[in-house]
Amino acid sequence: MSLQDSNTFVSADTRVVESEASRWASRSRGRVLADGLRRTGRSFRRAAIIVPAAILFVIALVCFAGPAVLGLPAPATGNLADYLLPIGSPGHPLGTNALGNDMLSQLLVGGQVSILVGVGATAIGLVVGVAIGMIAGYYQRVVGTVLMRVLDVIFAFPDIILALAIAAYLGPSVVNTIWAIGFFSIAGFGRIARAQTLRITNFDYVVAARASGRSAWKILLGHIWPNIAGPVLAYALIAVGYAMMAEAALSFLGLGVPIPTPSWGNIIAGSQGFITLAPQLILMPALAMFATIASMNLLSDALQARRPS
Amino acid sequence: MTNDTARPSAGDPILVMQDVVQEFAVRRRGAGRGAKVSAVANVSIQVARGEALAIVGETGSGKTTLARTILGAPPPKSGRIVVDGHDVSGRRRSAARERGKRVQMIFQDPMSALDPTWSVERIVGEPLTTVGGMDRDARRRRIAEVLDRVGLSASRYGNRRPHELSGGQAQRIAIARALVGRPALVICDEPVTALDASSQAQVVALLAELKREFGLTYLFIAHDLAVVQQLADRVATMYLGKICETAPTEALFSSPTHPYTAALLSAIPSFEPNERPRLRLLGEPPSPISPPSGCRFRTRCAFAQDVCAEVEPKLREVAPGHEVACHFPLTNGRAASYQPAEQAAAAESDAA
Repeated sequence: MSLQDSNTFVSADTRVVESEASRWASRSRGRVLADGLRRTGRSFRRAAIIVPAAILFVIALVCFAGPAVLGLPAPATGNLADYLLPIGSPGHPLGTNALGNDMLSQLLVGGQVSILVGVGATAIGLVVGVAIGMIAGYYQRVVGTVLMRVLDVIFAFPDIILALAIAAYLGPSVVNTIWAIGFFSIAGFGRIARAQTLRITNFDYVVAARASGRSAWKILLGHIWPNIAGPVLAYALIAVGYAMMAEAALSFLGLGVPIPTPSWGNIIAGSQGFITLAPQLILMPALAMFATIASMNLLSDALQARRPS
Repeated sequence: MTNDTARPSAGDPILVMQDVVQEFAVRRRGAGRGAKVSAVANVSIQVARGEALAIVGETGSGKTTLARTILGAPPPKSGRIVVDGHDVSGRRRSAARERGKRVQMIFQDPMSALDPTWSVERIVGEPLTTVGGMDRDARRRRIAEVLDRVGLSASRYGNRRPHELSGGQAQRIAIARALVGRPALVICDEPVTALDASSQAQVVALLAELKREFGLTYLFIAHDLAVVQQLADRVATMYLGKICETAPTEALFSSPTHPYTAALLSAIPSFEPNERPRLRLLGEPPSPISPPSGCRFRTRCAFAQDVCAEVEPKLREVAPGHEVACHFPLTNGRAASYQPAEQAAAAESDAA
């Protein structure tokens, strides 16, 4: 146990040069990355994840690529003479609405807007909410308490009323709808991110990293985010569905996406007068929304059940 | 980052703890409000370079809290902790950085100590990236080398995730991570408690081998006395946040002088009946919220007298390197009960 012995640690450097370990040590960066991706990919290969993900992918693809590929007319350029054509009419496979606008075009372009609002609003809530929640969970003493009380205030408002107030103040437009819905989704993300962060900060690997003077942002991004990403993203999928419903509700009340831009919500709103005459006008966007939101919830469940990579 | 720089001779203290106090507020309403759990009370210990000091004691005696206090999780309420000449007791990040270079800990549960989303390579290299100043290739070489030292091949295990490791392998990875930065002090918090018997033996052997090879300094928290006997050069017993006795391992096991140490040792099953007088601890340790006056052990001590409730015994040397905090230290397993209480108190006040 003499001091000279401690130098074997250095001489081991030379001993290892010829070994296979040194070949491992000099692997290219690309190999390392590919390895990681393959591992992550493997954990997603299960039916409960692939099926709803595929449905969502098809819905998004049809909505965004469909109008151009199928050469559909613009959604708001109908002929008033062709009003309320039934499903299967020549030139209008899903019929027309009361203004003679092509329903397939309305549905697909409306889907674009609904998805955009749902994803955009959730993205705002996710980025801001998770940042607040992680910081609150990591600095539990003062900062965390203050941040959570702020979120409590947001949380205490009935969210649809809050969104209504914001939307009414900003005026109806797609972007304002995203902000309004995004703002009230912050609190939910903040809550879940903080709870998950509290759970992770108790693990010894965070204790050790903190004790060694690793910087807070390195710990937050390196240790905490990867470990809370699963539950947070699962919640985000549900939040997208929720934001789409909120968009529909706002549009229905005339404070969301303004006509003539279609969205699933305002198609339903605009068609309510014809519910007995042409119920398909309401049923079609409602079904599209149902399929999207149900797939997202199923995907969310499946992702939560997934074992960590 | 190399060990080439001349280090002071063996025997100089790597870890010095001076009157370290750790307390936790118990938030309660009404009468008990403001109560504090006294987890570590005025502990002063030193660990010399190349030495392995084991701290033993019952559950709740403050061993783990002591270890975590050195790590600054949380920092001590008062007192000083100096590692290799650098004060690490502060709350500031600079103290944490100094600590990161000099102190590493091996935790009880390897699964909680390894980030499940990280690869083994990244886990082991973390202390290096925290300290910085090492390029990627040098880092990878060092990781390969230290993995080799704990008996795992880098090419087979480097890309694995913790859930692809067995408990014993995971603890080896944790050891590799602790050693990769060549810390001055390695704290082992019950490093084998969570492992099965065969992995326990392997990990203990590995720790002993690494200590011999690299002259590591260990602060070893344990309640398995067999492991302590195998690994430790010196043992300190702890009860309710206080050090009762410190002695070289052999001396402590052969002639414990503190009644609490004797009771701990008599819990080891022996092949020879009646070899030692059997001392049984009755009941549970008193609440650390209101520890007993005087000697904290007196409520469960078979030899306690009036003075034990009044005067707190200080650590004093009974043999070279053998310190005990007791008014009536045992000799050959028997209490020094012949000494009248007044005399002991007088001796105590003389010492103070």
